[in-house]
Amino acid sequence: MPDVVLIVAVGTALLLLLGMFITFMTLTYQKKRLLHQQEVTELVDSYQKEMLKAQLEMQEQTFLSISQEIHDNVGQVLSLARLNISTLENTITQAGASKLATSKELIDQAIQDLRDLSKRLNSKYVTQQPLSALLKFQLELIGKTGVIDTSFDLIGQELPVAPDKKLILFRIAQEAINNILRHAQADAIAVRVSFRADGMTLNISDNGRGFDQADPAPALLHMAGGTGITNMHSRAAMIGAKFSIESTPGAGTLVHLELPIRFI
Amino acid sequence: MWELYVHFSLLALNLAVWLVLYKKLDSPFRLLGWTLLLTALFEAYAAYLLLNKTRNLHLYHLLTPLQYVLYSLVFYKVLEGTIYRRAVILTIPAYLLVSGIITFFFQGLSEYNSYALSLKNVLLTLWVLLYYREIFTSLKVVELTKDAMFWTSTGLLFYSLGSFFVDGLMHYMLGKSFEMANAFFYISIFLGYLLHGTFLIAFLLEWKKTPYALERAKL
Repeated sequence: MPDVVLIVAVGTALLLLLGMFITFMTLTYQKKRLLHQQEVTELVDSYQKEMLKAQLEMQEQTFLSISQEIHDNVGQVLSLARLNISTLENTITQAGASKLATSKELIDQAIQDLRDLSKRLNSKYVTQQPLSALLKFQLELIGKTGVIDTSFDLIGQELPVAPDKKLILFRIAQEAINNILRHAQADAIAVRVSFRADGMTLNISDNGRGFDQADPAPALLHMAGGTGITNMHSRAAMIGAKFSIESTPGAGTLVHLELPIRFI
Repeated sequence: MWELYVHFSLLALNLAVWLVLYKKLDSPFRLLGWTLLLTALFEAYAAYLLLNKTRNLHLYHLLTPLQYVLYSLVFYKVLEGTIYRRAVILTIPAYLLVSGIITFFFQGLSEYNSYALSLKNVLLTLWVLLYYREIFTSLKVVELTKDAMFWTSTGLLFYSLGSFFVDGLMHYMLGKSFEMANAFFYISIFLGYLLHGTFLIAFLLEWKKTPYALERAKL
């Protein structure tokens, strides 16, 4: 009888040991799998960031080329045309002089508009200006059309933002403002930049038709051709900012971006 | 007698779930069900012979190799490494040959086929460990406790190692002490419950598998 007890006891102990081994193996596996999953996620994130960075660099390069082309080529041609027109002032009749003056004004306007466009596209210029100045400049250009009212508020003491981050912030603001102009049917845009000790916030709001956030797919398509909002999100994430959109049908839209001080 | 009822009830439950799910199951689990069906038929006949006080040990000389073939095919389907798969498939004819030799020359039809059983248990333990190695290397399984093959393998590991211990001594015990042989018999009964319990969990997990999970499993 004691032999039976001994054998059963040894057998049970061995089974228990096996059970412990399986439990340990399961726990170790789950831990290893979690780590692996984290590594994969980090790799995907880093790949996406690199892709976005490359896209942005390409975009900025294209903008810079267009900006230089406008400034050096089209601007020069228009300036020459204006100069030629100026030389005609003493050779034409009274009636022609009025038309000549109007043409000069139109060419001046075109030169000015092209300079503004060139500045907006030129990333070097953008990175050299304070963010508030860039946003004010952008809103003034829109305000000049007379189609939409614009307002700008700067709250707090403006902190120097790193040039690459400033460029991204400005491009996000441009995207948001473009969305308002294209889709919101708004007659007012308000931009507010707040600088605090713990970071900065950028709010861009309109009084347009808004959209239903519970139905994100049409909202995305409606607002930005399907990629604009995604781009804004990705760009914000790239610089460590929190990005959100609040909207109600008929009550406008608010684009909110928050950048903690450590990322400025 | 109660232990036989529980044993056959568990087998029947496994077979019922297997039949209901048959079309949805992947090929390893279809094969697993066929193994259970074969086991149920042989053991039912063995139980009938036992109740009629007739020796039934000869049945296990046929059932054991057949079980090994089917279990090995399950692992052949599950394992991904070419070398592992080749090893599994090559052992099938080798095992059939060796178990035939054991039956003809060492443990006749009227004897308990402990050598063939022990060899089967060693090989199945090896396949289970190879399966563990593969899942640990690939990390493809999202959650081990929700993976049907993990339960199947774990059940087989417990059963094979436990049975190796039991079968290895059973032959000796039968000729030595009925009391001790009886104790061993209950251990093997418990191991059988454990095996069929884990198989049942595996089938139920396959039942709960969502179409999304099925798609992932095929990838």
